[in-house]
Amino acid sequence: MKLEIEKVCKRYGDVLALADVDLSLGSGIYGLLGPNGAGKTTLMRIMTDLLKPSEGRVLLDGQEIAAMGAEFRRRLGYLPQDFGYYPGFTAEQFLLYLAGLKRLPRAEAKRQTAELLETVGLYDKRGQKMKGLSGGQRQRVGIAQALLGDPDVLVLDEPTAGLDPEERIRFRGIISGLSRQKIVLLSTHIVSDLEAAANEIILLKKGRVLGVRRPHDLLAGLEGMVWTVPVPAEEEKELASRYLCSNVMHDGGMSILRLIAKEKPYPDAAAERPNMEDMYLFYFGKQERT
Amino acid sequence: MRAEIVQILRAPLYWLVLLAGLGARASMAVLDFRHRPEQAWLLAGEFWSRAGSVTMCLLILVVLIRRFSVDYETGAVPVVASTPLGRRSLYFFRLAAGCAMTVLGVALLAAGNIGITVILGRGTPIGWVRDFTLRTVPTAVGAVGYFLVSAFVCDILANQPAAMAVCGIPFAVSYFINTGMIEPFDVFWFLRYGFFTELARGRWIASRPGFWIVWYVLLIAGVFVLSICRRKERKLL
Repeated sequence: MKLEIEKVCKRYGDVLALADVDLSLGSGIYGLLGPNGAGKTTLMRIMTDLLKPSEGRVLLDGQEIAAMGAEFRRRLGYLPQDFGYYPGFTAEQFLLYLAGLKRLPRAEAKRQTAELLETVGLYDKRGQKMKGLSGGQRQRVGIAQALLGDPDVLVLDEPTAGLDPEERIRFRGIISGLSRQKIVLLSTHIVSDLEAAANEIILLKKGRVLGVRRPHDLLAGLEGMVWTVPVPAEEEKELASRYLCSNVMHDGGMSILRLIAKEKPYPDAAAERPNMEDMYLFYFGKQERT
Repeated sequence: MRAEIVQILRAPLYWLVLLAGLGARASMAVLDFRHRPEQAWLLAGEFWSRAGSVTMCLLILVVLIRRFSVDYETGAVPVVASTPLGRRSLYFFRLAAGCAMTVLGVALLAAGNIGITVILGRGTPIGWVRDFTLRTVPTAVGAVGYFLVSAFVCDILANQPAAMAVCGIPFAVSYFINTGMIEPFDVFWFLRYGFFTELARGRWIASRPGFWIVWYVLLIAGVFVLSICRRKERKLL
């Protein structure tokens, strides 16, 4: 199974939201990483046939998804960034309604609804109206509806937004437990979610794909570039403005900065193993100054 | 389509509007039979002229067209439109369900009026039920036409309150136009007959009926085409 994005561009007036995006996604879990305004949601909406690209096309197994229409959507599960719902429906009613729109037979819809509510930890809340659920609980209903029908292509836009740490761990478990025969694309700002779950990470900046790499390879590229630097508090600001700074801790009168720099930035700097936040800052933070 | 009909039947507002209409009718019937019994049967037969048609207008604008804006107003469009049946099929399911529930509303109001009148009048004059039922036919036709146009407008605007204003104002204005004071093809003639009111009030249009058949077909078709074009722009077909 292959989802191909061929030279996709999207313009909103004079604004180029996506430029020449070329991707080929086979089975596996892909993380889509980029700052706000990078074009992640635009790309996902084009991939789910909700938005027409200005140029280019998206193909699933060689067929254009726009031409496939309902057949493509039968194989699709989508969680949008702002998950909308019918406030007066209970969680169970909403899932059953969407299951009907996904053409699931009634008995199968009931079975999957119960199973997915159990999976996302909301079985006890199935009779509660959507408007009465918390933001995190509604988001979990959103994840459940995306999984209805066991889709081949799963597109999740900021799926862990509003989830507490325990719920995020549960979500990672759900994603990891999915069949390897699926294409899963999830976008997030929470880089640690990608490190744990994604096989490959797509880096998107200002509408352009910077690269597609495994998390391990992205981190390996930063080896020898991450430093912890203890400095007097009055020097903190100057150092932080000169280098990319991924973390600051204060201990007494000292500041301990975590900096990203090609060369040792300070005499007392100690090399550290890079993490995903360092990687995010390296690709998307302000440019390093000499 | 079954799910759409169930949603409408489960909406408390659907039944509240019908009950309110019949409640108003019952109150008027009590007063009519008590204070002007010689006119009570005539007034009962004119149910669609005021209470009935106003109730149907409210039922359509407040309850039935909501299904055409609810996805936009709740932000559920991306979720619904990413399903196999969530675009064209759902659109037509909702139109069909709305038409069916419009006809059901007319039937329930008609049955309610007959029931109220028979109970209070202790029986019916010969032919009254038949005559009233015949008047209900243009009401059903007009109500379905009005529902279709209102639903298309609601879908185009993606906003129920706006659709209520656009469709409700011409309907309401027509009630204030006296048929004895209008000439064919003047503005008030158009306002009086052009927006389904006459049909909803239980009367076939006597003034240039051929013109109005063409007008209504063009009106429904025109708004439908606009709705389809808008849906294509939004990638909802």
